[in-house]
Amino acid sequence: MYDTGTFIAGQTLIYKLDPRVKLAFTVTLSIFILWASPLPIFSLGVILLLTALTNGITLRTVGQSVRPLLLFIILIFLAHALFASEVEGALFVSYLGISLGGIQGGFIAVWRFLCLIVAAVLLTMTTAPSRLVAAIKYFLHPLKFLRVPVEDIAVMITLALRMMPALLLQKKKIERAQIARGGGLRRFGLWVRAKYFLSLVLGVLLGTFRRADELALAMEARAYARGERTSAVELKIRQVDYLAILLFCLMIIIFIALNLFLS
Amino acid sequence: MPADRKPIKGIVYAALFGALTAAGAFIIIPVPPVPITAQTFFLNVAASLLGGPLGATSQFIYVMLGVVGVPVFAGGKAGLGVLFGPTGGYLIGFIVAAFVIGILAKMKKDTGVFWYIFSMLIGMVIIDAFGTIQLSLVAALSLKKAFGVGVLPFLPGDITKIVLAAIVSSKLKGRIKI
Repeated sequence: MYDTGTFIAGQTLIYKLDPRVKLAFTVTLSIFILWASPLPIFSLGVILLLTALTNGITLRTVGQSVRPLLLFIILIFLAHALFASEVEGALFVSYLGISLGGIQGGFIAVWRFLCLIVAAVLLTMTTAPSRLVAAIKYFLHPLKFLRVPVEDIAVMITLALRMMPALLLQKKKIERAQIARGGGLRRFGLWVRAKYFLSLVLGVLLGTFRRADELALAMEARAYARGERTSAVELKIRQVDYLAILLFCLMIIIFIALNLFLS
Repeated sequence: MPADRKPIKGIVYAALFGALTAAGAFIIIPVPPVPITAQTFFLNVAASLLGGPLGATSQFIYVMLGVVGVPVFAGGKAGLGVLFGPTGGYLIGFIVAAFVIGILAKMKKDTGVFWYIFSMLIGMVIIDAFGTIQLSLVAALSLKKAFGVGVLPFLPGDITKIVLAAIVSSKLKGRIKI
């Protein structure tokens, strides 16, 4: 359940980069991927994949994060291939509306999609969640002037991160109890299923409320107050980061030039 | 300061509902034609029970969980790229919709099932509007095609979830005191 995109500790260079730098890279990349023309995206995808492979992320892990999306990828491809509005190139199967241009468009859309996934996998698999939260907090900082409680948001993300597995565990428990009583979601007609689903989520929700009340009480008892707080994670931009930023900017500039040259 | 202590419960509830929405990615409801996850179900319950601002906050936390790398976006995705990707519009729609549903649901003193269903339907329209627009922009599909790929197959499931969420919300509405 958690084997896609989860952090795995490693020692290569990319692990040592500042999470803020990596986050900025990922955002820049995702914008570029959606904007650029096919050839630069193709080469960028290859570079991304090579970066992943040289940093201990295997093709299998990449495949694992792609597999759940297979249906969506097929849908995107079909949407392009089947309903291509302007027909470029020779018609393949005219009565189905499949055209060469449509198939090309489909491949490009899927490739874009895969690039985005690999970029995201690279970020999340080489950065510990706590460091990523710290990076997010850093980037949300300007929102303070709009009176957005940035500190609270960081606390909330950490709380949610901690509680999610517990909630899933609780759901599993209730599910097992239902099955032990002859119920469960995988049988009978729609109405019975709906009823089992209702009793399942009511159990999960009531359990969550109890947890929330206890947690709030515990936090109050420990004199939790909103506002400035210190964190165990301290972010520092080092020489490696400057080097990475330099290389990254160089790469993006080359790609943008290539893109403008091609179009 | 006592004035600062009161919202702690709100913070905790919003965080837990964010986590619940995220956990909803792993709860699958077997409905034809496409089996669906329970995420928007929890979105609807969160918004109608917590109200506008806290409901929206809970969905923001959910989106952040995904950004941090927990695979909780539809189809086991995670990461910031998703927000800018073809399905990112739905996630932004989640936050806006939660706000609107929350406001609508708290407008009445004693909200009934049908008012819940009404406000959740409005929320669904908001989510699908954001989602379809971004899908058509990013995947370079026309609005009509994007609607056919991104909304139509999920409509029966979405409506089922709304009815279930409305029932649950009206059953639980007295339980949370923030």
